[in-house]
Amino acid sequence: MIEYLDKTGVILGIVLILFVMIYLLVLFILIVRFLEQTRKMVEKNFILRWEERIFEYLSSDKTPQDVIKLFNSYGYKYLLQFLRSYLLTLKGSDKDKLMKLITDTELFDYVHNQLKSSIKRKVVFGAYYLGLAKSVGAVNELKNKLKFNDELVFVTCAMSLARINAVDTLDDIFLEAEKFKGLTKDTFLSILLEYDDHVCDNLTKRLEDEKSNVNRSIIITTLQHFKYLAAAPSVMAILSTETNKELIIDILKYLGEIEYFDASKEIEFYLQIPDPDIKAEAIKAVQKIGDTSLESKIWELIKDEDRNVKVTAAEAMYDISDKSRERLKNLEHTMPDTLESSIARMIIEERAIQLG
Amino acid sequence: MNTIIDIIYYYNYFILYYFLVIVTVYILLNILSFRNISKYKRKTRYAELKEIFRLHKFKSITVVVPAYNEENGIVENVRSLLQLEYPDYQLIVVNDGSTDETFKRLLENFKLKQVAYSPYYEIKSNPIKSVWLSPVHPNLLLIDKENGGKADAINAAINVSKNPLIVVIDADSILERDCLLKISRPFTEDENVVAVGGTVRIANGCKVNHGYVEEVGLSKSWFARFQTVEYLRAFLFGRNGFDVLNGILIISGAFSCFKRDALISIGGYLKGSIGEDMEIVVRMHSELRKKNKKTRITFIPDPVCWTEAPETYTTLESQRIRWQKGTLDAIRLHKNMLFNIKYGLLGTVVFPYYLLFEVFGPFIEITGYIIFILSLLLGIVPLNFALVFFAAAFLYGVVLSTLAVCLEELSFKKYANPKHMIQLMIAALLENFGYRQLTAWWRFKGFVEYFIGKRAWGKMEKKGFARKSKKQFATEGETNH
Repeated sequence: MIEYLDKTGVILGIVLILFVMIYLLVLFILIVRFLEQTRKMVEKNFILRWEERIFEYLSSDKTPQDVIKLFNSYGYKYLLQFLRSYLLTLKGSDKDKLMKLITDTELFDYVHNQLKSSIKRKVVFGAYYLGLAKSVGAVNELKNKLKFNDELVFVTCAMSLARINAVDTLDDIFLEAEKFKGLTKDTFLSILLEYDDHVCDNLTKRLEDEKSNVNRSIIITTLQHFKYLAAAPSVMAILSTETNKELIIDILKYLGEIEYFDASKEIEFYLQIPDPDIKAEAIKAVQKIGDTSLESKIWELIKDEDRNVKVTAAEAMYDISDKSRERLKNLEHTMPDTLESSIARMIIEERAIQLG
Repeated sequence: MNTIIDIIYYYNYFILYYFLVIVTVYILLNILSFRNISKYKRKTRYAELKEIFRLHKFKSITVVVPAYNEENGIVENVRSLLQLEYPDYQLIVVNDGSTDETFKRLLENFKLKQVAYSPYYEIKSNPIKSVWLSPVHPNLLLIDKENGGKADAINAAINVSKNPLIVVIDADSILERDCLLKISRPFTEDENVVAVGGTVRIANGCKVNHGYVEEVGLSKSWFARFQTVEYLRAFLFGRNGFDVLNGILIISGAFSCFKRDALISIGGYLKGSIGEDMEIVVRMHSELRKKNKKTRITFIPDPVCWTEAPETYTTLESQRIRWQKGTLDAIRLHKNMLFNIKYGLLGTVVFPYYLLFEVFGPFIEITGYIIFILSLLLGIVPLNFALVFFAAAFLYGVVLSTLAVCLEELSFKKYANPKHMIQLMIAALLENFGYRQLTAWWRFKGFVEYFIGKRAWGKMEKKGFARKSKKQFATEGETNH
């Protein structure tokens, strides 16, 4: 009993601390809410005033400087937030005029200073808006900041350089990317896809010397996205010696996407190898290229052991030519009550519904 | 008599230390969550979700909606699900042998046409009777199959789906329009991610229009308000904290996303398990970590899904009993992971945590109350000590709930109306006086029922948002959802 009484005082102390904590937490929540409401009100007021001025600017001959002069630097942060959604959605001359509000005015100095900061949050903020406004004047600083040693900063700066379409910085991006082990193929790809198709020439040159399979795969996928035909010989050269499964699949996807007829012979080889994933991708490439000379090879693959290969082959037969489609339709008679005829029926009916 | 007094005496000490350990664990979880959420907010602040649109060839999604006797809301739910923002997704509705008009209503409203389906079961599921496609909505597919329960229905959809990502939702889940963009992001950021859970919030009191939450609100029912606070606590700091340790053991069945390959490799959902959403996650950890130690199951703190919480005593009781049985079942099935250093922090910290605080927690809490009262009656513990100890325990609960509300206010600020925020704070205070003990009692019942072999599902009634009529989700003894 005495032991418990000894501890009563300690627990009473804890109770008091907990009381104070609750009081402080409630107070904190109320203050946060008050500040948030105030911030929202200020932002709303700013937007109400700016919206009119900015739309007026878009439809007049006013210079960007004339507009920015109307605002004090205190509100730049809100102005940028306001411009963000328009810069992301608008296209054409209106977007160009809005970008000039950032690139050709005092706003540039404000954002550029943020980028030059050593604080991560500010760097990301500056890099993001300068990229959004495609500010060529910020390329050097963005390039410097690639070395910041933080993945988020790297991705934001690289993304901005890509938006500005600074193709000369491509090597720096690849070089710095190697430092970040956690950087995934998809993230890297999303950076490269921010460039316009002018990047393809540089990427093709890079591909010829590139040793890393991951980088090769990223480059080929980007080229596939832009349907860049001129890289086909370089890609074919890699295919002739390559044994990496994922890379082969990416190459086959690229060749199919650009409908590279000259690759038929090489693709034919991959129709005959044991790996079902590569075989399925090779079938898809033939389907896209539409090489009717490979029709009989595809037909044989309907009888493949792997179900996915069977389905892919049947889909290809449906698409390659009218003759192959007829052959697929007749499968029910030539191979009745088999898995092959059941797959053929499934594809024919699916396609019929999809075509309405 | 002396032996009994000794037992009571030492049990009191055990309760005291148990309380201290749980306080420490929760404080640590809170710290980890604060860090994790601020990191997530920083990362996503300037992220344009639609970037993924360009990557659609790599991450197409299949959304699976298992439906059993959902005639009241299924058409409206499917319509809203067809309007999700994502470049390439397929919606598969699985009619799991409904005995009502679910199937007929889907056929009529979406002008579905039957296609031949070549049966191919990569994972086990009850036979698929037919597959239907819509000429109007090319991404809508309906599977009609024999009843086999939610797990079995999902497995059937996995068999039919060809996309690399599978999102599983409940037929009555209300999703945010950009939820797929958000949930697919972790897969592009880390190749080791095999599953992602989304944050689920309580929709009671919210204004729901055409299947989407138009205005966030709070229900007038205190039961629903308490659950709102509970969900904030569970998702904002529970799962966030465990996410840092790669120790998420449960992803809500209302909204979860998996890599199809990963699901296939572990044989899909376990048919007949009580808590299939927890079981699959634990099994993923158990089996996939053997192949790749870096396997990650993660969670996005962004609220992406809203669900209706039970507002009546019996429904809530039934839900909590079922949850407790589900937890017990999953832990029992994968007990080999307990204290197993091969699973890193998951085996040595998270699994023991679940066993001690989630499985045995209600048992210890309820027996603790009984022993404490006995101690008072027998004069083992003085009244003033008891009062102070209880005050500390209650206030600590209030601190935790208020912290969750605080975290919400600092991060996602979904409750824009100041009145709702104040109501939430009041709920955070009141839930510790009665409601918390009640849920502990229900979980205790689940614990006991599980061990005496009563493992069937309970009743689950929901009011529905767009519909006024009450519907019955599952009845005892049936293999339903």
